[in-house]
Amino acid sequence: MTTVRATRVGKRYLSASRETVTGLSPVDLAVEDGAFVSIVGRSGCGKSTLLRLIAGLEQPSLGAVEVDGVRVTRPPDSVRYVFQDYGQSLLPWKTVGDNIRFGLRHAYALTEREARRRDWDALIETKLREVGLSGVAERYPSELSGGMQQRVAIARVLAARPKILLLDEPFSAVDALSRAMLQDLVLEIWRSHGLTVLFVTHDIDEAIYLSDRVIVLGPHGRGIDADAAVRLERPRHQVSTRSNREYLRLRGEIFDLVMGAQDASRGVRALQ
Amino acid sequence: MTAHYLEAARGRESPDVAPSAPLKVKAFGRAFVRSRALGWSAVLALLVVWQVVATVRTMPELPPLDAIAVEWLDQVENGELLSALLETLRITAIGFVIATLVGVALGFLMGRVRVVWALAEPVVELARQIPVSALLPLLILYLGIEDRLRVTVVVIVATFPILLNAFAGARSLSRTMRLTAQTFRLTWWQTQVEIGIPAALPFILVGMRQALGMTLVMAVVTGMLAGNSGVGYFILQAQQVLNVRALFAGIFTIAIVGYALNALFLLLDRRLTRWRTLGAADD
Repeated sequence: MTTVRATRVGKRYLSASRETVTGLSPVDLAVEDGAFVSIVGRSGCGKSTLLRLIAGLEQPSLGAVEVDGVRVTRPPDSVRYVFQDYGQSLLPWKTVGDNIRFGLRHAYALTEREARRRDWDALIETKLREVGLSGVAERYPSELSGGMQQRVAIARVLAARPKILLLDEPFSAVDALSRAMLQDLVLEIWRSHGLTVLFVTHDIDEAIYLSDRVIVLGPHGRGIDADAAVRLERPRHQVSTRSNREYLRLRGEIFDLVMGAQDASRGVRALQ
Repeated sequence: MTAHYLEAARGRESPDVAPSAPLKVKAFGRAFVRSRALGWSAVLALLVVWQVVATVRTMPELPPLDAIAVEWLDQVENGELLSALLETLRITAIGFVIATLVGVALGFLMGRVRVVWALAEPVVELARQIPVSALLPLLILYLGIEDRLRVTVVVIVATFPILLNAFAGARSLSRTMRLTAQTFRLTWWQTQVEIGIPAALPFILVGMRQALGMTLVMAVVTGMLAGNSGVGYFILQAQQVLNVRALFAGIFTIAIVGYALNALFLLLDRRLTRWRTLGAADD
């Protein structure tokens, strides 16, 4: 079943010099329920724009986005977004526990006063354990490392009970070792919660490693250049998956495509 | 790595490698010149010089400190200085509270609601240029010389720093934070209360601290100009009867009370924004 459907969805901006800039040329996209889909492309290709359009954080200039058959005009209840900039996304004046309480509260659409009456401490600890943290509920985000902060952001999003998780370059600001662990964490959460995940990244390896499907966006908001199925067995493994022949073939082709070695139409054929 | 981690590491090492005595003296010296104790010692030295000079050469315009202290105690005991101080503090408090409410509300809304900014910016920027002393004759005409005038003057002066900082704080809200509020489906009101105000709070506190000092000054000054009350009037009276000791008693009182108010405010500030002073850990 299709859960996210974008029909001819595009975005134009008015630049500071009053010129119309294409953020994203019209794109068609259908994402199956339970799929893990990555969107890759160079800076300025519109991949984050596409994600924000799906999230209802921006309104399209053209076309429409539907989530579970309902047209998106504001952030849908079933969709949650994880930002690249965790330092700004976690509320720095709230402790880790209160940040997750914030997620819980808005999942149940409670006011702050109603939420205070609920005993959520055990639930908060559970959410933290799900992302591999414990005993940090009383700490402030700034006391944690970048990787740990992004884990908290993920726990907060999970507390808000999403069906569809959108991640916008979530690990580009964390160190390489933490990133590998976070990748496996996201895969585990995706599997155990039965989520649909859309994952934006500029790291082609990361996209292939995680996904069922990799969508390549062309430069300057040109639209979809390629849509490649990733037929690698799960569960995936940081070493063996990344040395798999199929993995390496896909990696080479997508890399060439993103770097502009081939024109768009040849790229699509080559991948199919 | 952060300060408290370094502190902890140093603590673990200390039993093994005890620093030698000259090193300890050196470390103490370095800590001393880097702390406020240095400035307090300077103040103390200045007071000692004052006391010596005033004792050796008797001058009516520079009474010795012990005489000022005696005068101060007298004035506190007979209630004049104390009631004057309470009066000044009352005006300060009322003015500060009103200025905070007006400054935060208007400044924050100007930062968050474009229409409010468009409407209020010219008025605020024009009004901000007018020295309050230029307004005083008009204000006296409209408000008389009692409490209403004094509070109004204090409010006019104290509102602007709070307003400007609240505006800057409201503008400081990052795009990611705004989008975070949206994705958790906060209403406009919830976004302002739960995210806008806390994010602006450090700025607002800076403005409030600037304003606090100015409120006390203006409360004293208006007491001298109109209304015949407060520490300002106490000082004026001392001048008229040429009681130099009482003059100094009044001035010292203002300095000490101002310092205490600022210290109290800093304490509150640190408590409210504790999250900002904590550093990050490594993985």
